[in-house]
Amino acid sequence: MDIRLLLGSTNLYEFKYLLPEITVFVGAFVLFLLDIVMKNSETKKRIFLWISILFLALSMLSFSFKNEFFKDVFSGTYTIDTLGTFSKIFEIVLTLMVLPFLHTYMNKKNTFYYEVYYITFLGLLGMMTLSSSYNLIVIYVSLEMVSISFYIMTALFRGSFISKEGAYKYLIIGGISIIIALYGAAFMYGASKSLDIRAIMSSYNDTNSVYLIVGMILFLLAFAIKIGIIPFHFWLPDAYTAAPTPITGFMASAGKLAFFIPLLRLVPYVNQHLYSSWMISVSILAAITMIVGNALALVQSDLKRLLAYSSIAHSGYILSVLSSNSSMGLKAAIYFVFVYSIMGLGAFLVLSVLEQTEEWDNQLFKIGGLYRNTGFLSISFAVFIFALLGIPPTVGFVGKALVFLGLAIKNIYWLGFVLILATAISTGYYVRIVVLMFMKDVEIRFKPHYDVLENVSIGLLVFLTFILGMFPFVLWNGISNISEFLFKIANMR
Amino acid sequence: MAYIGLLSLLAVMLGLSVVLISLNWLLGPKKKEPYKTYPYECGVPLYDDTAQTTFHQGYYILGLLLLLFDIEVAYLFPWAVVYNYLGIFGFIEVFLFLLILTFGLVYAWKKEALDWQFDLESL
Repeated sequence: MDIRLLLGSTNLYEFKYLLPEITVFVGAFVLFLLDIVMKNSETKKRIFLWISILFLALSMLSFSFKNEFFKDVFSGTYTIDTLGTFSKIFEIVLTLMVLPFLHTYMNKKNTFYYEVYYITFLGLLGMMTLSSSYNLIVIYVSLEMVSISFYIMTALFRGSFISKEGAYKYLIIGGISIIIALYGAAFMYGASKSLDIRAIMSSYNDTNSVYLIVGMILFLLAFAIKIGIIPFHFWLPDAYTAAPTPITGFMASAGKLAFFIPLLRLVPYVNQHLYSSWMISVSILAAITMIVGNALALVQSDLKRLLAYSSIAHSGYILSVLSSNSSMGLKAAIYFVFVYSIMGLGAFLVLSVLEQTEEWDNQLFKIGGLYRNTGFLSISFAVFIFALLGIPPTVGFVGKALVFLGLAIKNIYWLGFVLILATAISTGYYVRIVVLMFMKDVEIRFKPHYDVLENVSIGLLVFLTFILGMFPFVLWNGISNISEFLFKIANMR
Repeated sequence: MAYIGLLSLLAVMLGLSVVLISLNWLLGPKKKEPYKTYPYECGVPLYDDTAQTTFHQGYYILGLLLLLFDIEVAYLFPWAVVYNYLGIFGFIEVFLFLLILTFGLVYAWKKEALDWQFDLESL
């Protein structure tokens, strides 16, 4: 049989829509081959860094080769749309910012693995495919791709027992979540005879409702484990603490963004019949996550663990507005996901620079008087902390205000009050960090190391934190169109 | 009543196994010998007294590689069966599949996973 007959239904020219993904994949392959061919040396480390940056830049450039706002390619298994493109660009930018930190951190900690570069690339590829598909199988495979990269990267800390322990916990619970997702997908497929989430959700009627709802619950449970919603969050603080800090930042920003995208895509398809059950279940989970996540963060004495719990709480904020199931709610959720990836990444990256000094062991009290050791780092850390708390000139405020608006528009006021209460709890630990940094005596004296690329990265994140907070319409106009477009497409079916 | 055959089969199974095991226990010779309770290890004397020791890391890597190429062979069999039907398309697909796995082997080789004579310093 001829190859063209078998590939008959596939239009080969459609591969041009996959150009960014293909570039990232080729980058991973080139790095892999270089790792096999080259001898270990300082030059090789630098070459790896620059080749990764080159391929990510090429991938960014290749977005300009396609100009489609909405298109299903490869028989509907892959969707090119604005949300997908937007999140893919964001994921690539976040990866670009992580890379220099990864380089210096691993050098300093004597734990340099060349594998980490191409595993990062493969994880990024998984995130990119996860961000742009409605197909259950594609979502499943990309979930596996992202998760397996994260398991490996969590364990990549030479000689650290905690790293292996966190990775193992992550592996077990992540594996369970994948199984649950697959089980739910099987139920959904059985009930609706389709693998496309859009068709599955539109096929809801009373005859097949039981299996469809069982499938949806299982599928959403799997995503709840992945994004760290509270009754299923147990792996998250351990894995985030165990991983090398730049990788924690990568997981908390780009990874969380990618895990949220399928949930965001689901929201416009929650129709009248499903709305009340969706609203009740999601809002209760979100309320528990917000309150308990912040309360647990309040008692942490480890700075990295504190930020991990704060990441859980932020998942709760984003999930809460998904319960409103309106165009406004979806806008707020997309906005908050994007801005959380900026501020969360910033906080973890500052921590990764601090960790490279000898005396630093992430204990909360050691941050005392950080301002006298390093002005730039402490001020940028304070900016990220204030953004996470939601103080006005930063993005965090705009995000939380939009979340509240999204809840108010559907009269879910109680969840809005829970949000405010949770933010009030979070003030306790966020402000404590800032007070320790600026108003206490110096706990340990050290001179943090200096790297141009790292400081450019942190500076850019601080800049984004302010500029998107003061001029939110820069991001908002795009997101507003995306959300309304998603709802329009959903209502057309 | 439709499952009566299945139930009787179950009864026969249980009865037969109980009878065989008890016959074995009743008629078998019972002699105490030291080698009877001795753990079996491929016909060589035991390396360790207990089973709860740490294995050399190399065993795990070897196990992983075995899994890799075992699965490779398992996938090659169905391909070989329908080779004539698939033709050049199947050939290219399997070539790519083998290429990826070969890269796995090259990777393991270059990372000295097959080299067991390393000193502890290099770990």
